Amino acid sequence: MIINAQQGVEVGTEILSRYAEKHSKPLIIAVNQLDHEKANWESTLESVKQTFGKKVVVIQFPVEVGPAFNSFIDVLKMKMYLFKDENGTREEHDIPANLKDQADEYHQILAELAAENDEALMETFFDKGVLTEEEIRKGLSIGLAQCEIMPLFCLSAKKDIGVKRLMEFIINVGPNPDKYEQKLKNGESVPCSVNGQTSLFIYKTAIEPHIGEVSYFRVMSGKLTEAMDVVNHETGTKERISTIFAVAGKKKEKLTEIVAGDIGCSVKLKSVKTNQTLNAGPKEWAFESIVFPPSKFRTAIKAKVEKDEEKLGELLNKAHSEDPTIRVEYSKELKQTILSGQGEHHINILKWHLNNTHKIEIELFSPKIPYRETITKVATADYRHRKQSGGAGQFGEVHLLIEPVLEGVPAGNRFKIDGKELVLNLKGKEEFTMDWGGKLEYYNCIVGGAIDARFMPAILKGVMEKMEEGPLTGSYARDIRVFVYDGKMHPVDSNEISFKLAGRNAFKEAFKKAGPKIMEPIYNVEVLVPSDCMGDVMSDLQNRRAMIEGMSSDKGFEIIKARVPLAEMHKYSTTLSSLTSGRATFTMTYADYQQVPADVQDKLLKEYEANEKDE
Amino acid sequence: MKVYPTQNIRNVVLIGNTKSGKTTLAETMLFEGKVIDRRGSVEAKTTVSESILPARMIL
Repeated sequence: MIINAQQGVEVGTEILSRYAEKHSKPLIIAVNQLDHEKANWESTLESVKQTFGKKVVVIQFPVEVGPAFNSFIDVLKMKMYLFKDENGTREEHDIPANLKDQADEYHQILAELAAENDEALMETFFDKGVLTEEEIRKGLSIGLAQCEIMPLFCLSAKKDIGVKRLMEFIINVGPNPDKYEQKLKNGESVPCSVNGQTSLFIYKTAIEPHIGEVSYFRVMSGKLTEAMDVVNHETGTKERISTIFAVAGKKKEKLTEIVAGDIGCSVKLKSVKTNQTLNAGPKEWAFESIVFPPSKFRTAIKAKVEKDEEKLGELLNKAHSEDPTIRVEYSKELKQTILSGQGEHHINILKWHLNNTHKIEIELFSPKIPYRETITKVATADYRHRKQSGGAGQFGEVHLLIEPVLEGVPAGNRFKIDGKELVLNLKGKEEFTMDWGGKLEYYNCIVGGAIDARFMPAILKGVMEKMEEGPLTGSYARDIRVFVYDGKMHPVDSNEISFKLAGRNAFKEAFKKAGPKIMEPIYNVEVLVPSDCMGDVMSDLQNRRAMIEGMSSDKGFEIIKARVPLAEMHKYSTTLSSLTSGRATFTMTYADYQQVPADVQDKLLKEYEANEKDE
Repeated sequence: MKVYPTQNIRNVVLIGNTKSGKTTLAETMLFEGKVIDRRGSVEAKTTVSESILPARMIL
């Protein structure tokens, strides 16, 4: 973890350290930019200790900070390192007398913390009161691997001060890859050993200019040699790793062999995606996937010029394969392409690339909300469709009754409409589960052959059309029972189209009389917010019609759980960021549908009507 | 290039807030490890880490 000595612990430090903790990864703290004129050692160290607590163990402290920073005291080596140029040339000196006491103090703390990680070391420490450098290293190594300690170093990366010493520490004390269990998807684990079956985990794929697709992998086990054949566990595809490269930026150096624990890349593999495992042996291992954070920002996207649409689609898919946190989905319901990512800035970077690198002008706009429509009471409607302007006429008349489908309430046959009782003869029943959730039940209650059975499917078709494009706002309708109980036919003019139209319009009229309601999607939202920003975040949530369901605290953070309508969540990540200076995070998952409040429904109806008129 | 045995491998990730010096530290480490013989700079966009795609983009 690199800390900027001008700033101390920052937002990114907090967020990243939470990830490191979650995944049990050891952290070394490198205080960088100590040569900067605004560098402040004391306040930086203080903020680090405040954030990371007792785990922090000072290995080095600077003699002087600011532009004069050229030396630090290393309390593991008990030496002073002095740098005379900006190319890492260093001299070892004895610790100056005026800093000796402080160095001794830090050294004592270091030895004690190191001893705590091992019983034998603890004994030695109690007996002698000191530990040798070798013993301290051993203790630190154990403590670091178990994430019990966080050694702290002094750096100016720019002037190459302390970098080599940090690398030496990583080499001498940092854990080998074989210290860690590598988990498989099935819960088992595999040691990172050169003697095991050769197995590669793809952690990144990229498309690079002049090369094409580059697959980055880590050798999880065994060793990979040139031209080895491996099998993709997910697709069963055989791949030949014809070349192996070690990478440093765009520089790729060819290797003949690479062993467990190392990372490398290969090119021109047939079909390899991030998170897949390639095995060269009978064991079908699949290593645990990297879990990418859920999307925090959604937007609809389209090309400004229609002919670019296809190319845009391809580019977005490529963007997803390079950066799996960019997600693309075409919503059939909304008839929009929905792009989601980690925040507005993330999407804007992609937009910039599309505009500048690929010369495609795009438009981003807020996605439509997938509302649902349903009814709350019983209603009837009659509709006569009749057309007799030249040629063959059209005639169909449909009387129908609708009621809401309520869970656990079966269809009855006695209804009260305007004070009169209507008793229906339930004959045929058809039940449909809609693609978008909810049900449609369709009853044939025709008596005395008022409508021919052959027209019943046409009426259903008309009803279905209106279910797909609800009468209120054009959104999907759900959970409705339709009883067709009467009608009229014409011996010549009645046909399918007539009854379809009559069914459709009768349904629409009945729907509007049946206490229609708009339902909106509700999401479970969980916000992790620093305690001091709690008030602002809460009042913002309330403005978003949120139902707060619970709160709990955890290490200076509050977790707010709430149910919030999707319609109110647009650009939430941007707002949350600005309310908390980027220190809060949130997740949202779909919960269910709920009726919108009356005022919101009125607004939506007016909007829909206005749009209809425009068209 | 030589093959490194597992015991000599360290998997290291540089993490830190924006502008803390990740790219510069990586550059200096490569220099110290003799992978490169000249250090590039973030200002001039000549670092190894940014040789394929810019790590940051000012919009």
